[in-house]
Amino acid sequence: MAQTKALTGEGIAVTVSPMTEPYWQATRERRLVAAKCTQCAHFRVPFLPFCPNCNEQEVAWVELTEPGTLYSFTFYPHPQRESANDPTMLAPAIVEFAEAPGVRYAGNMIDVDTADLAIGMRVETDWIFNGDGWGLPAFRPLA
Amino acid sequence: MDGNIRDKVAIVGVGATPYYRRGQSWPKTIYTMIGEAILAAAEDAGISVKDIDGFAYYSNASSGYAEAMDTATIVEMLGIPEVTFTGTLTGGGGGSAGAVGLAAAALLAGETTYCVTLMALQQRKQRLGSSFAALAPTPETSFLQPSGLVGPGHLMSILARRHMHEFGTRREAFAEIAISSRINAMNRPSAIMREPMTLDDYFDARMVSDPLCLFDFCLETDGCIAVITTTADRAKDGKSKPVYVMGSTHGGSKDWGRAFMGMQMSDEYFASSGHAPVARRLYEKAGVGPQDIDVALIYDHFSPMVLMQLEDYGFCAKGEGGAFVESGAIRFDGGSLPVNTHGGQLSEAYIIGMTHIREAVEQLRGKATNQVAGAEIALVTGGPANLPVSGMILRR
Repeated sequence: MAQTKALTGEGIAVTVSPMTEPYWQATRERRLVAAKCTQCAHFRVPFLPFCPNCNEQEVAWVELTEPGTLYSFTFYPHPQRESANDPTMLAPAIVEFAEAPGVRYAGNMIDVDTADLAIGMRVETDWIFNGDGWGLPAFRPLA
Repeated sequence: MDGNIRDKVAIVGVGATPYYRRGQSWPKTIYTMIGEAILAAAEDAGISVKDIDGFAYYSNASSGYAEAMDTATIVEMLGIPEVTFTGTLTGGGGGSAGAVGLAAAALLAGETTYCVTLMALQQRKQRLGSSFAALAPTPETSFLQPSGLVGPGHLMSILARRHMHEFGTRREAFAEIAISSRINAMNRPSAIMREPMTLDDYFDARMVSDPLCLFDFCLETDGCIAVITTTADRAKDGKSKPVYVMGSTHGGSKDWGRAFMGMQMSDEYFASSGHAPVARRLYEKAGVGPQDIDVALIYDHFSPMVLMQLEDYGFCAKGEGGAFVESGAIRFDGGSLPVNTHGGQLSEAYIIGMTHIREAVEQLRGKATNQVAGAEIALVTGGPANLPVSGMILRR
């Protein structure tokens, strides 16, 4: 069908708050992390100030090292394609992680034809960097 | 007090401006449209606009995402002598059907006598279709927006595909919702889209965000609709036939939360409209069930979300929404549950849920263009969106 490519990162805006900064600092080192409650081990997404399970505030940022699983996706003509006839697609995807129940991250599917995209496929994380050096996850199917 | 609004309040007036394609209401200002709609609603109710003393909004009283509806400006503009209640549901378009419940609460508490609920929309400055993209990401949307999930259609396509995956839902079902809505719009002078739509037209349409094509998206329109709600004892002596509120509930589960603005819904909620808890409470309060609904006005910003609401309101089992609509059940002509007899937001006009309330009132007055014979009870829903979502049951 059509090849997928990530958005190139230079102009992509990201806003960082004191709450989310540890996540973004880890992306600079190509590490995907998730916030885990130090009290009850509940993974907290979105990153709000209290654990919805036990209402404690402290979190530990744990690295996700295992492959993720494609939860759902879309695709549409790539905004940065070279011409109107260029069939390249942008494929935003939602990926979940067995290591961090409840956590889902969004990123672009890469190095895959849209015809081969399938919910449930296992994916590895790669990185795109914006102009400020913040990393944006991109996901590639595992063979 | 039994804590139930059932049959204690009624919608007694509805007023609207014409509907315009996006931006074409200009040079009317948004307050011109607000004034026109409120004056028309008061005329319909047989009251003076100066009898209005309450305002019950939704969507934080924002009109679209670029402007606001301000009670102070409205009372100055229309010479409303004194306002005694002005409140809003939070969230966005999810609250449209619940705002009348807010009015009911204020009416029954004696805080207002004639209460207006309205929505005005003018997309001259900011298209809703690009509203999220126009905003710099917040710390929270910075987890979605950089992936290219920037417009509402992108977000909804993620839910639609998940529903297709879990339940085998087909694009033919989305097409049926679009086509059924179009058929209902074709004989309505107020409808923006009145050309016939075939299944081929649907499948030939531009794929905007796979699996959603152009005809799965609602229209981008301008206009204003206002409704006036009062207590049942005042309503019975009014000029227009009162339409009684059997129930109007809003809220929802933390497992739905900000919904597709975060994509962290629980598995149970992800491929849904988020309406299930609100629907359960609505039927309980109204004392009726899905089998009692004669006509359903279902918030249709995107066709798949109609299907998911039909499931959440119990018209079919979870996962069977596709088969239900493909059976022809939602057709005005011959369906067991006529849906969006006005053409909905997909084909008539998009005023963030208010066209559905207007159509419910017209159906229950027996004056709808596509009148469901003998319609006694109507369901109206608010948008599947970040909390609150809402629903309302009306009777004649």
